[in-house]
Amino acid sequence: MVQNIATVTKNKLAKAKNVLNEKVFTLRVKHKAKNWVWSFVRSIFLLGFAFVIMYPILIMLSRAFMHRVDIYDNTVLWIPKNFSVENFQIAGDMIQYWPAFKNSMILAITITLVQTLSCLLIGYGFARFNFKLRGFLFGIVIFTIIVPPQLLMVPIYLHFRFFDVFGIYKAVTGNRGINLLDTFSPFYLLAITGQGIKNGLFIYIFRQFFRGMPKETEEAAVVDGAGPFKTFTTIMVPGALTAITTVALFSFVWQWNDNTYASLFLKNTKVLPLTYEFLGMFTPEMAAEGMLTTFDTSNPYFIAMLRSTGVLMMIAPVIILYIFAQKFFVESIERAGIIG
Amino acid sequence: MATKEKKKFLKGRLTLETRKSLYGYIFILPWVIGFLFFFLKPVIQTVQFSFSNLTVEPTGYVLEYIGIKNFRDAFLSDANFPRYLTASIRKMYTETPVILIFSFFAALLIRQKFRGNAIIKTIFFLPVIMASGTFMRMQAQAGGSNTRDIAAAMSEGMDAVPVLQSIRFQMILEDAGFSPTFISALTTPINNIFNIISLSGIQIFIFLAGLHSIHPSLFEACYIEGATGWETFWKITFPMISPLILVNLIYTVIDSFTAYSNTTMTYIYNAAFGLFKFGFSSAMSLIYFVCIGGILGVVGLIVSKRIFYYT
Repeated sequence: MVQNIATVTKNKLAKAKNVLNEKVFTLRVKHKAKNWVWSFVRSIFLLGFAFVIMYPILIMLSRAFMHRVDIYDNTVLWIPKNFSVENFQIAGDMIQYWPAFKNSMILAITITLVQTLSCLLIGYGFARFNFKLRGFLFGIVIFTIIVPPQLLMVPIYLHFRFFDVFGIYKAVTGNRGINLLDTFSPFYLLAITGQGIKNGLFIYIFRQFFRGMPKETEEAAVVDGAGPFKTFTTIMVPGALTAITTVALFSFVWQWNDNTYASLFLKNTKVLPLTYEFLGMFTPEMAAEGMLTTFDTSNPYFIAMLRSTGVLMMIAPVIILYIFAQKFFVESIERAGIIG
Repeated sequence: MATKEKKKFLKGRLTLETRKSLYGYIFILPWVIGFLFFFLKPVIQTVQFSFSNLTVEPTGYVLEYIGIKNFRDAFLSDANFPRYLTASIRKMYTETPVILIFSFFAALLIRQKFRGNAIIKTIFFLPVIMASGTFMRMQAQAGGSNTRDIAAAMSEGMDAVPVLQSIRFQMILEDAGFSPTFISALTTPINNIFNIISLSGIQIFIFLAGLHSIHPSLFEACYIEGATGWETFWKITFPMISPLILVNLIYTVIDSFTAYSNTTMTYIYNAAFGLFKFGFSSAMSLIYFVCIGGILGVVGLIVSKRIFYYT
């Protein structure tokens, strides 16, 4: 009898266990299925978006290496049948690639260095020192971000066309200022004083970053007898490397792409955003060199092909730079120092 | 000796606080100078120019006061400016919500852990680089489309092919006899996908940084209390990220107004440096700026009241 009860309870227990196991199993399956479905949907979304972003680059690559005879071949869609680098030669001639590349590179690199340094100092000043007008002045920094450069365009242009400090030059020579156009000095002057392209944003990024850094290290340095500049160079700058990389990357890219200021200050100096305008214009010598027929030079497909190639040549340095810098860039997001 | 004593005296007189504030001023001095000469002065001059007729001569420029004629011209006698202005504003308010929603969604997606996360992140931030400056304009010209799309576009009478357009799909629908309103309702969102994604780079960046800065303990507490993902999103993620929604909103509005591809901007530039109507251009840029400022002010006021600040 007792044994009987024992076996019955045992059975019941086993049954209950089974049911439970089954339930757990179905739950697990459900959970797994849900996860699987979600990751499937997610990958579709991500791959789709990634494709849309990559599409222009891919198609430019495909077209740049295509020989122009492939245009007339209906079976060629993405992968060229006749590989050629002829497009690069022709497009490079049109936009005067190497001289313009050299100028653009010099300008972008120097401006990046100057701009990053000046915004670093200014951002640090706003983050770590208390002074009366701090809130007010920082408000103005934010304000400068929202003002479009076009508002200042005419006066700035005239300012550098007839450059003068407090009328000294005029007092000495009698002329109205020095013509600084077609030199890089307007860019440098703007960069040193933190008024260059989107510099307000850079100051903001640095300020937020420095505000997030612990006060104790700075205080320790001060107690050890370091002045504010020494504290800055030995403690703060090494700590801010990710923010510096991010700002330097942005700074380089925006300078490299900049058209507004370049067309404002430079007329005869060739930089890439300006020489890009020549893309699609054939000169007679070109027609002779590249064995182009008049049919080619008036063919919109061929011009579109050259345009793709030209754009690709222009963005190549930036993309290469991005590939190298993206690790820091992505890291600076994860550090979350950028947003306070 | 004397100088050293003087130094000591000076040092003794200034408290640490005043010295610190002095150093602060030294650090920001370059910016103050730049602001005065390259920002404040130009702004004042723009206002001045907008009320006058400006002519550039080899030795300088001459101003001639003409009152509010430039402003009147911009609205009443210029054929294009009001049209471009309204177009810019319309573009801003149709695009901004979509960009914000998309970038938030994208940031939520990228944040999750999955294989290939690093590559996806790299690709998603590519627009930050690609969409800035001249590339957008170039892509509109050189474009991503292949030769067949160019052919299709030319047969439709367009001179440039924007990226990833559904031209052929549109043509199929037209041939099938659908009404034009239906076709445009269907294809406009599709045509704008590339545009929206390429304008969302920085916004995704900001949202992602914000998502990373939410303390994990909040999510943990939610999980322990048994909240579903949906609840967690609306009770934790969304309120915590709301200040950045304002930041992104303002950034998007500014970005839309000051983008290189913006027709109003190009028009203002050409009026000054193509037609040499400097005063007229200044007046237009002033009107444009007042519009931007007004819209930002209204939007900021409305949104900032609904924001949750976690302190």
